[in-house]
This record gives sequence, C-alpha cells and structure tokens, in this order.
Amino acid sequence: MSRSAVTLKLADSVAQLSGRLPTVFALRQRLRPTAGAYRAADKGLWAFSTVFIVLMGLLPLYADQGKVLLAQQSLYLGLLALSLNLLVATTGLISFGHAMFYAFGAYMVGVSVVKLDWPALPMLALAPVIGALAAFVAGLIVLRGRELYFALLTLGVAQLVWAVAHGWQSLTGGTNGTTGVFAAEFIHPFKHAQHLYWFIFGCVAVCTLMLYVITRSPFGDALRGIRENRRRAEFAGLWVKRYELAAFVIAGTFGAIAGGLHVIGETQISSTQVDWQRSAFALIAVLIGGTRYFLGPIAGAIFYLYVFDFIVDQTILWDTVLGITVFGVALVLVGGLGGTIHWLIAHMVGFAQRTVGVFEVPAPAVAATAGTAEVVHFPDAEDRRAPAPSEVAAGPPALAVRGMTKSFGGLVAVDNATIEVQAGSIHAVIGPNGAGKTTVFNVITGLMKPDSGKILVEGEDVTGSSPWRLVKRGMRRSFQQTNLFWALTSLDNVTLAEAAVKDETFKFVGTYAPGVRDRARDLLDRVGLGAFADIAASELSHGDQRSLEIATALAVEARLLLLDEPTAGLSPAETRLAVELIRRIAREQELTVLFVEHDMEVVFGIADRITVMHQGAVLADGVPDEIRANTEVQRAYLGGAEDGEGA
Amino acid sequence: MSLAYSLSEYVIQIIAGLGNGALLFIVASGLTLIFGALRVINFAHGSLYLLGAYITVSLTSAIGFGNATFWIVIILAGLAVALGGVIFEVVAFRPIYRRPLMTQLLVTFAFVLMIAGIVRKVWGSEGESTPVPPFLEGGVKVLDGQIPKFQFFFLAVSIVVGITLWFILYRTGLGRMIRAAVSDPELLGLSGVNVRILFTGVFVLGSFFAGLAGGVVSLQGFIGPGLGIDAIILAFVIIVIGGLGSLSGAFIAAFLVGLAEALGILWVPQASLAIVFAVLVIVLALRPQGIRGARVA
Repeated sequence: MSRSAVTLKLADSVAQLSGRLPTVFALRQRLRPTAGAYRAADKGLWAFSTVFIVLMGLLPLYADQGKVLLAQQSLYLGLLALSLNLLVATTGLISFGHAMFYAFGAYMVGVSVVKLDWPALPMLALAPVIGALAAFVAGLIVLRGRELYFALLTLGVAQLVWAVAHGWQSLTGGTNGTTGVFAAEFIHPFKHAQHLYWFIFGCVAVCTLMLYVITRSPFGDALRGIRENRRRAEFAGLWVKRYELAAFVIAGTFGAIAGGLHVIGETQISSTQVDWQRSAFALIAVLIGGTRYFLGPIAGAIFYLYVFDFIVDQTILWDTVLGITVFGVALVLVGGLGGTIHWLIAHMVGFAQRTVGVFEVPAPAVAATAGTAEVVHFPDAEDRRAPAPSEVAAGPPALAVRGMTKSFGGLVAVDNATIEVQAGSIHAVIGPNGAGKTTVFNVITGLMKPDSGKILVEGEDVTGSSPWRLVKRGMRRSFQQTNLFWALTSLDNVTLAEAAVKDETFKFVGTYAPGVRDRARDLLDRVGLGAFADIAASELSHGDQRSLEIATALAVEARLLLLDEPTAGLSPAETRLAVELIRRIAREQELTVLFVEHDMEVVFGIADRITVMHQGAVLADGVPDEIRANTEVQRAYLGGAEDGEGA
Repeated sequence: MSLAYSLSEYVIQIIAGLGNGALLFIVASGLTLIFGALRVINFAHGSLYLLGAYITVSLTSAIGFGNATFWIVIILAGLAVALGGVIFEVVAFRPIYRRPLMTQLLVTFAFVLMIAGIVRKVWGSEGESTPVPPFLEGGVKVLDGQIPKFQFFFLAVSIVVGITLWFILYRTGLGRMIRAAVSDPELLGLSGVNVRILFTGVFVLGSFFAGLAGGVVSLQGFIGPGLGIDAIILAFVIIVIGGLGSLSGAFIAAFLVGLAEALGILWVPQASLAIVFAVLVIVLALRPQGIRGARVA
C-alpha cells in the first residue's frame, strides 16, 4: 500500500473508533467542491484579476514613491515573463535565455539615447523591431534542438549575447552600463514620476492585451496543439517549425519592449541586468504565477519582487528562502498563485454551497449518452465491390511506390518494394511482424527518406517531402498507437485539423472563419462521435479515440488515407464498427485507402487488393482470392515448411 | 586584436588554458555522468563544486595544508560533498525524475539558490584566499616564462579522474549497470537491479568528483562565491558540446573550451567569453547532439 493510503486508513480507523467523528472520507467528500464551484472559481479569478489591475493602475494615487518604483519594475519584468509564457505554456518550449531580448530592447534604447543623442520614446518604438529581428535569427539556431537541447541552446545564445554586452565596453559600457546622461531628457516628457508610471502601465497593458488576443487566436490553438502532440500537429498539416519560429519571434518582440521600458523607467542598463539570472527570474516568475493562467506571469513577477524586496531586508539567507519558495511551488503548489487562488475560491464557494446553498451556478446540459453499440453484420464478400478491370479509372494510380529500399544500419527493413494503389480502392498491406509494413508507411508519409526508390502521388513524385506538405496534398495517416491532442476536446481536435490544413491557423487575431467549426462538427457526426464533441480526447474509449483519429484524418479534402493497424486493440464489436466506418467513408468521399492489418477477417472482408510483405520485400500482390490461394504466402505466415509439404 | 605574442607567452597561456580545461573536465565529468544515467540536468552541480572549495578552505584552517594533509583535505572535501549528494539526491532528485523538464530545471535551480545563501551565511560574501601545499609552490621554467606548478597538477588530476571514471564505467560491474541505466532504466529495473540505489550511487560518484574539483581549484589561490555559477555555465557548455552523457566527449570539449578561452584572452580580451559561447552555438547548430552524443531526433 502506498504511504498516503496507509495514512488515510489509519486516520479513518482513529475516526471510526471515536464514534461520533465522521470518517475522514466523509469529511473529504463534504469539502470537495462541485463542478459548479470550479466554474464559479473561474469567474472569481476574473473578478480578482480585474480588481487587481485597477489597484495597480491607481497605485501612484495612494502609495509612496518607493512602492511605485517597485510596481513599475514589476510591470516591465512582468511583461518579460508574460512574453516568455507564450513559449513555455502555450507552445511548450522552455527557453532559458529569454533575457537576451530584454538586452536587445534595453540596449537599443539606451545606447541610441546616450551615444547618438536620439530621443528615447521613438527609440522605444524601434525596440520591438530589433527584438523581432534578433528572435528570428536566434530562433533559426535554437529551434534546431528539441526539448532539453532547445533549452540549452537558448542558454548558450543568451550567454553569447550577454558576453558581447559585457565585453563590448565601448558600446555598452559593460558592467558599468549605459547610464546617467540621458536622465534629464527622460524626465522631460514625464514631469511627474506618476506620469512615467502611467506611461509604463499603459504600454504594458496594451502589450498584454495584444498577447491575450494572440493567445486566443487560431494561431494560439495551433501552438497548443504543437505543445500537446508535435507529431499529430505535423500530421494535421501544420508546418511546425514555422509556427514555433513565429511564436519565438512574437515572444522576442514583446521581451524587447520590456527591455526598452526598463531603460525608460530606470534610465540605465548594465550587463549584470541581462545575464542568465534575468532569464532565470523570468522562468521563476512564470512558475510562481502559474503557467496555465494568462496573467500568472505578471502576478508572479509582482510577487517575486515584493517578497524579495521584503526578504532581502530580513535575512542574509534570502537566496535560500527564495530557493525554498521555488522548490515548494515547483513541487507542491504546481498551479502557482493563479492555481492557489482558484483552488481557494472553489473551496470557499463549495463550502458556501453546502452550508448556505448560495452561488448556484447552473450546470450545463449533460451530454446525451451515445446509443449502445449496434451489432453490425460483417459485410459479406458479395457486398464488397471489387473494381472490375473496366471500371478502373484511367490515369495514374492514387499512390505508387516504386522500388523503395530502406535500411537502418545493417538491417534492411524494406527491400525494393513496389506497390500500386488504384484510385478509389481499398488496398491492404499484410505480412508477419517485421515485414517492413510500418516502415513503408513512414517513408510514404514523409517521416523518413528512402535510401532509394520513388513515391508518386497521382503521378507526381513526392519522395522526400515533409509530412505536413503531404498532408496538405491530401495524404492522411493514422498511427499504430493512437495519436491525438489528448487535452483538447474531440471537437477541438477535429477543428484544429480542419483549420490547419488550409493554414487558417496562421491567424493571429480573432477566431476561425465561419464554417470551420461546422465542418468539424459534421465530421464528428459522420464518424459517430457527435455526442462526444465536448469530451477531452483522453477520456474517450479506445475505439472512440481511433474513430476520432480517423475523423481528424478526414479533414478538408482528404484524398488518400493511410491507416496503420486501424483495428488494433479493438473488441470484435468495435472492430466491426470500425470496418463499417472505413468502408462507408471511403465510398462516400471517394477516398483511396491503404491500410496495414493483422486481422485477416478484416482484410479479406473489405480489401479490394492485397499486398503481402515478408522480410522487407513484396511477396505477393493481387485480389483477395489470389492471395488466399497463394502457397508462398501461406508458408510465410505459417513459418514455412522446409520441404514444401502441404502444397 | 593582437596576435603579436612571443612563443613563450603563447605556451604559457595555452598551458593555462589546458589546465583550466582540465579542471572544468573534472566538474563536467560528474555532470555528464549524472545526466547520462539519471536524465536530469543538475544545475546545482556547480554549487556542489563551490561547497567543495569552501569546505577545503575550512578544513585547511583546521588541519593544515602540508604535503600529506593536502591529499587528506581534498579527499575529505570530496567525501563531504558526496555525503551531501546523498541527501540532495533523496530530497531533490527523487521527486522529480518523472516530472516535466521545467520542473526539473527549476527544482535544481532552487537548490543553487539555497546553497548560495548557506555559503554566504557560513563563509561570508567576500571570498577566501587559499594556501598552496609546499610541493606545488612556485613554477616550472618554460622558455622565457614561468608556469605555475598547479596547472600541471590540474592536468595530472584530470587525466587520473578520466581514467578512473573510464575504468569504472567500462571495466566494472557497477559501470556496466550504469551504462545499462543510461540505455534503458526500466529494463534494468526489471532485471532485478535496485535502480533507486544505483541512481543514488551515480549521484554520489558525480558529487564526489565535484567536491574533489572544488578542493583542487583552491590551488589557484583564491575562491569566491561566484565560483559555482561560473563553473556550472561552462560545465553545461562542455557537456553539451561533448554530447550529453558522453565521458570522452566531455574530455574533448573541456580542453576545447579551455583553449578557446585562453586564446580568446590573448587575441580579443573583451570577447574571450563570447568566443566560448560562440563555439557552443556553432557546434550545436551544426551537430545538435554534440561531438560524441547519440543522435537525437
């Protein structure tokens, strides 16, 4: 038993022994908030944030100079953290060097004012430009790495920028910084410190709003998809590198604005203010505020600065206290400030609901339960139409693999394979394990390049194309292990696929074009998941997840469907449903289907043509009756008798 | 930018650079070992190095710094840090093995902060000057100049450490298990190996070398609170250039970095740091897995 289970059992026993105390379990039940309470907490968090923003805005009217300066600082540092969060929370890219953009923005303004005597505010307008440029160049470098390598690359590039700022004394002043002289020019446009504060507040507010719009746009959806499941994003038609680079550039732009505001606010910048500790600060602010809450990073920055300010005065161990805080938040209070406040409100509302019965928030209509799985008769052999030779459409095959060879080191996975799939047909690829079937799929769909051979789609050579390009051409794929955006709802999964293929996701403002969501809903209905539109993909049954994956594959002008073991892991009833679905869709949408299968009943049930692979080579190719009678195929599957017994 | 230096100036600077690189290798070796087996980037590794240095200083005040006591002191420093490593692994690392990347990075970073505060409290923020044992005093005459003996000592120690680690990894049962853990920890656990204890052991080994390096660096005459941070950043650069988890890669990269920094100081003094990071960026951009790293998708 786990430790917590033991503790619970112990506490429970103690409670029971004392007779009158309710059991621990009952207590926990009583304290657990309802879903309505959580929804109320969402609203509560909004209200809380609004109040807080107003308080921050009115700060100079009631706080002393010192506090105002601190608040000012937390504003542009908060903007830095907010821009970082676009990468961390929305796209899933952990950047360790975000301070480099702070540096670019700050030095842009600082150096041009001090060295070139240009006025500060127009220079601030140029800060985002240099931020974007720097982010573009840096992005090309750092995005060559994934996950940890990406993080370390960002650290390296940021250190490079810092080292230049540090070493190029003549330009930047190094650790002494660029300072002093322009104080007079600065104060001039802002006669009062108050006005300076409001200017910065205004700038940060505008930037925050812009970032909010971007985060809520189709572009933001695409980024979240990439964060959830990079592979699925690629196979939904997203050119992932382009989206990641765009996110990096946006983050860099706003980071540079933050740096520019720093100079305007503090009239100086030195290299010690843009080192890796600044990058670490940004990450800590994001963590403390709560990555999942949009304003979290700003809250985190405010919290950090105020608490830090307080602690430094209290103890020489301020580093240690900060470290313990970060440790605690990272491991325990994982939701950060946002999460904690949300949790508190939810529990308070839940408690109030139980005792007083107020704050009732109407629950949404429960999703209609899907009908029970119908038993569908397995299609008889006669029902299935094999295209007669005269009916075969003239013209190139929908997909042609010519002489494909692929080796991994010494292992030849695919050996000179040639497969032709006629338009509109349902074509199966079968073979014992290790025959090379999935490798063929991976090469066709662009995950790997073949050592030799060609892939032709409708006569056009597409060998070596990237997956997303092939998706846009109409080639769609499902995977052996279901590949979905797990945290998104079924509808969102399909919507994202619908929008991605046509690049409607490269839209930074607003919502999807009308019709995208409708088409997505239609697709869901077509695969029988209409009732599950608002359920998260991770919560669907295995069979429904498979259907959802097929639905995403059908988005916008699908022409060729590659299904890798579509019935793997399905019960017999689910298998029949899946098979019926594939047949129906293929017929309705005039798709060409190429699928790998192990279930012979399925294969012989719906395939128009079968290719058999064995040890990387194509063993046989023909209509099902031919394959059934082929002795070599039988031998390959049954392990092969050495002396040809059982002809 | 000036290239006009005499041969002896070059030789002295290059040896100094190699010596520096040697020292960095000792630090980086523990880091790459820990990453290779545990798959967690330990930011606090530099702090362990820092602790090793400061503990050495305290021990020398207590025990003295003669020829024999020197060895005792640095081994003790290594052991003390290794002991700290046990606690650290259990408290900080065990909860984060399965957590996302950001959590791992921030938790280990939290310990950097915690240790920095403790160091400041116990030893102050000034820094300490450190004595040199008699057998390493003075320098060796090379061409026109003098090279301090401790530079050669660094080189010697790094080679010994490299050989020791190589021996442990490739010639002992423990090493085989560590390499198996690098490859597939789950499978190793299923083979009946207590992976938890193994991980702690790897961590202790890596920490010992960090502490030892801290003891050795005190030979340079002066240590300060910034030692840990400077070291960890460069150690990262080294293990990434060399390939995460690769011992031989760390060896090559460490001397590469040491040389780059040394020549940078000679040729373009303000850009010496920038040159090191530029090397990192170039290597990673061309070969993201590092010189000797396994190919990453």
